[in-house]
Amino acid sequence: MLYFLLASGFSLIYGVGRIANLAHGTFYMLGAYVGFTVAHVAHSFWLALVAAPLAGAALGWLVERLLLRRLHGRELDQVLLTVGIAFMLGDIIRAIWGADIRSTLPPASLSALVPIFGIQYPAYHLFVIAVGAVVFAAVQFALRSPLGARVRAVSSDPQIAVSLGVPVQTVRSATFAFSVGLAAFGGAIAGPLIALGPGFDLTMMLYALIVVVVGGLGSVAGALVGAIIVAVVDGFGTLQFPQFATFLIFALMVIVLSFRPQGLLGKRG
Amino acid sequence: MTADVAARSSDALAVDSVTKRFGGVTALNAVSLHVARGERRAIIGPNGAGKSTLFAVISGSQRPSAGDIEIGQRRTTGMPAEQVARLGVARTFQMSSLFAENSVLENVMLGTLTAGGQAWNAASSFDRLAPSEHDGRRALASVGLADKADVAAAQLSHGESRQLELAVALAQRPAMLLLDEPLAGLAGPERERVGRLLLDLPRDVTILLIEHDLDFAQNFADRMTVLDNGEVLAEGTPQQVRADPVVQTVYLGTGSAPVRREHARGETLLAVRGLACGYGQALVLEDVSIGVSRGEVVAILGRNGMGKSTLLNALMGFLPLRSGSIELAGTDLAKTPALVRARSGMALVPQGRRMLAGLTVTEELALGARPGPWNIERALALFPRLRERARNESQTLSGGEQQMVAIARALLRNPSLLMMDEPSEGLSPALIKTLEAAISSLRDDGETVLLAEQNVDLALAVADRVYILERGRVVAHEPAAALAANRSRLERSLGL
Amino acid sequence: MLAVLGVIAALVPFALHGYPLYVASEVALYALAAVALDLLAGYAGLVSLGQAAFFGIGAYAAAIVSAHAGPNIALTLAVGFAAAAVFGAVVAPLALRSAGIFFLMITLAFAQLVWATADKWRSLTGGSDGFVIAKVALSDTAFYAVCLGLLVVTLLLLARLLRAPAGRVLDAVRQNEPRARALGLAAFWYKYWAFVVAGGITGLAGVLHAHHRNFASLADLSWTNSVLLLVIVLLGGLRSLWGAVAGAAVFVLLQVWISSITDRWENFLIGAVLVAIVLLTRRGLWSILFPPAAVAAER
Repeated sequence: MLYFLLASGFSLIYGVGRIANLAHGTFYMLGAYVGFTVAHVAHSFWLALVAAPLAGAALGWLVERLLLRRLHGRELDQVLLTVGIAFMLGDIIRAIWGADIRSTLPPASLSALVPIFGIQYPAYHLFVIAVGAVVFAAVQFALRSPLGARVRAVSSDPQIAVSLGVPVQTVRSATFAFSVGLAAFGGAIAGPLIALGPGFDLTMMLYALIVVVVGGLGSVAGALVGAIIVAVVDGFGTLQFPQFATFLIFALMVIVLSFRPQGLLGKRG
Repeated sequence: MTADVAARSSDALAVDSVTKRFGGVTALNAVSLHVARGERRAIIGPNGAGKSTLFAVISGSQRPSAGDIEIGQRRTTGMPAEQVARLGVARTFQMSSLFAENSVLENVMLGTLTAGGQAWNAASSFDRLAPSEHDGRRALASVGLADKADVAAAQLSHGESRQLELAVALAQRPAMLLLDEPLAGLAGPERERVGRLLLDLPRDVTILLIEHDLDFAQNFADRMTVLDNGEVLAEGTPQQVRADPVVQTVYLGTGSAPVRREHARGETLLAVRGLACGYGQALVLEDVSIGVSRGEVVAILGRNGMGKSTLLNALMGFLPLRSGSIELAGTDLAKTPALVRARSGMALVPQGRRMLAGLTVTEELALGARPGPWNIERALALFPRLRERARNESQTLSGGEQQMVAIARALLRNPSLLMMDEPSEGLSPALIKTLEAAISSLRDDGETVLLAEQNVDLALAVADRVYILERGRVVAHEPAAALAANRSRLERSLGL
Repeated sequence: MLAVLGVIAALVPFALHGYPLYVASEVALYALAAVALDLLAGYAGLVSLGQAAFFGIGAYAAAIVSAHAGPNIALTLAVGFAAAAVFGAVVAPLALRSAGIFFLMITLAFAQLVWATADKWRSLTGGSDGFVIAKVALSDTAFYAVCLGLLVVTLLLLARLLRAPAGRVLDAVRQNEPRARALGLAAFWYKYWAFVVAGGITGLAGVLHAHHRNFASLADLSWTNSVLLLVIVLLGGLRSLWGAVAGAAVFVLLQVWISSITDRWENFLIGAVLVAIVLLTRRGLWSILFPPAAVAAER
């Protein structure tokens, strides 16, 4: 589920703007840290869940407006720019929050264990799954809306979209900001579940890439499918072949890239 | 002697019932051709007929979906492009395809490497490869580029880069040449020069030529093959083909367009003056001036490659202008981006329909809709077939239905000027009739339409006035009625 | 002019001792890896984010061989080169099925595969603890000579190759692959060999690095390392072998300077340089300092 939140934003950005935002993982991490701080300072987990995506979206909008737009059409340069941003942002985050491992506690309301089919399930995990499902539904719903139609139009044929009066540039910026905000939101949600430390962004970025490659670049539903597959393979691998779990994941990525680069549900081959 | 028997025994090229499908589109349908050694064959046909696809399949850059190809008695079906090239096949590309960072001489020398066996030489210096340089310079001299040997390829004029394309192909010492629209984008003295070059090519080389310039093709070729919609329509000597009634219909229409009375004209809505634009180094349109008044339907006619689509794309803002002005209701939009033009009241029904992926018909119609006399109900009344299709994804519709969606979505913008780019392309005669009815109805409603068309019948049936484009310039400007009534005038104007 | 500068830059370190000499060796070995990547990304047009795999394979080869047969640099270099080249030969057919951004991702994926293997195969690599290597029996100056020597030989050979017909074909394939194929040139094989050769040379750099630090670690295989190499090449300018060397020099010196002030901003530096290069220039430092006079003259 966490993978989904991260990967869907990445897929959206690629689908609409043809940009592979390799800083996505770093925005995720930023969200987690912001969430952590807000939760501590304001003593409100829920506030953190609002603050993180806003921070992410604002920063993302700035990056797109000031930097990425200048590189319009230069795909490789855009990717490299996002890599640069990822590295810079990573160190900035480390400077602000330090290199110690942080962890957030889930809010009291969700700390209990919930029995399901005889297994004690941490309520927070269920919460995360529920949130993921809601976000997925919301995004799909939004994409089906007239607003979403504009996004899909830009993704499909920007030139025709322009001729039909769709403000392509604005749509791209907004999508970028939204997707990055979504990543930050994902990070904030992930806070209580993970050990937060430097380098975390790069690990997550790699996972997001795998999810997107498997599920298909440019497809949000693909991100969900990919996330599920990756989570399953990872979980299965860690259980059965702990030695090979990570290997399996990357091998999966290589296989998909070699033989079906557009992924299961993707559109850009 | 029977031409067929003799030809087959010394075939340089045998294309045997080749079909090529791209997804749902059949670009070539059971096409067969036999070309004798040393023969000069011209391949002609309207846009989208499959000519370049045919070359791609012969040269190996695409594999046929079915059928076989034999080059010099050797089966080459499915061979990769480099292998086919090594059999002695050289080709030029429709859009100049060179090594832009290298000099002219280096480009040509690269062409000599395979024939000279130097392709894997990792020790000697390329610049000092005497035999390569010698062959290269000779090829350059034969096309008249000897003095430009050290110029960077990217800095050549369009005509010069066409010459270089030819030189590179010749440097390969080919047994067979595939020339894809070598004169495209050329005008005036450059065109003559390259044309003469082509005519002077060595006679022992088998040459296949794709060209839209029918005069030139007729002059050049021993035999012509006409392709339409992926199929061979006719084949024979140039005289035979020219006189073939089926071919004439494809280019000239049936001559059965009804004569229309001319509309009372409103004030000028669109005034284009001195427009020039092109792609890269090629100048496609030169000094084009047209005008459209409110309530008129104006048609732009001309054979393919003459610039009709380029004109509409330039007007919509998809292409920057080299010079000229575009005034819509008095405001010059020449330097504004496409979004501004769309918002100012220009709408385009693009060539090839271009449906948006993942959108239903209703969504596409609603996407750009603006308030005004046109609304969804009225659009559906114009194209009732779309009612049943409203919730289907637009890309799953048939060609004719997609055309309706494309027109409707443009209309729903309530534009002041509706531009249509070859809407009849790929449609059956029955659908073209429907299209004709729709455009006539728009005309009766007082819409202003600028229509670029290859289909002469359709254009003359709906238009008030006609401009004819030839090689990037307006060469004729007549009332439609006059052209419809006088077929020989039409032929002359269209250069047929 | 260039040659004179080069000779001076090469000989000066021989007069140095201690830390400056250490830095000079570092520059030389990173320059080696950068030159290899320039061949691949600059001339063959294959921008790879997976060079760390070759670098790390070389490093671990050095470690493993040293552990079994003693720290013999001639042997480790040979094995490191071979191991990296073989890896490249095996991976290339899969990787080359992609182009552009997909190629970027698949090279990244392959590098991560190697990383994951090294991480988990503790018995072979020592896992996240890294692998300590016994010191090679060479003085610092001699070690520098080895690094410099390899760099010079590589530069000479690659320069020769790139001037030769085969090298020009590689460049042509980058510019316009369909055109090259239409001329009868087997594009795939040129890219294949570029990939393998670049991999092998990067492996050599990895061996040198391992001996330099007396340590091989997972960091050698990390994608940060791949990005670092790419930044160096971009800094020096794509398609300029000397540029790659200059880029390495500038970058290593920058790194040294930054780490003398603070030890926390290395990634930031890499990122900032990358962003600056991408936004400000497409051609890199070298062509700013020494702009090419004309197309013909550049060769």
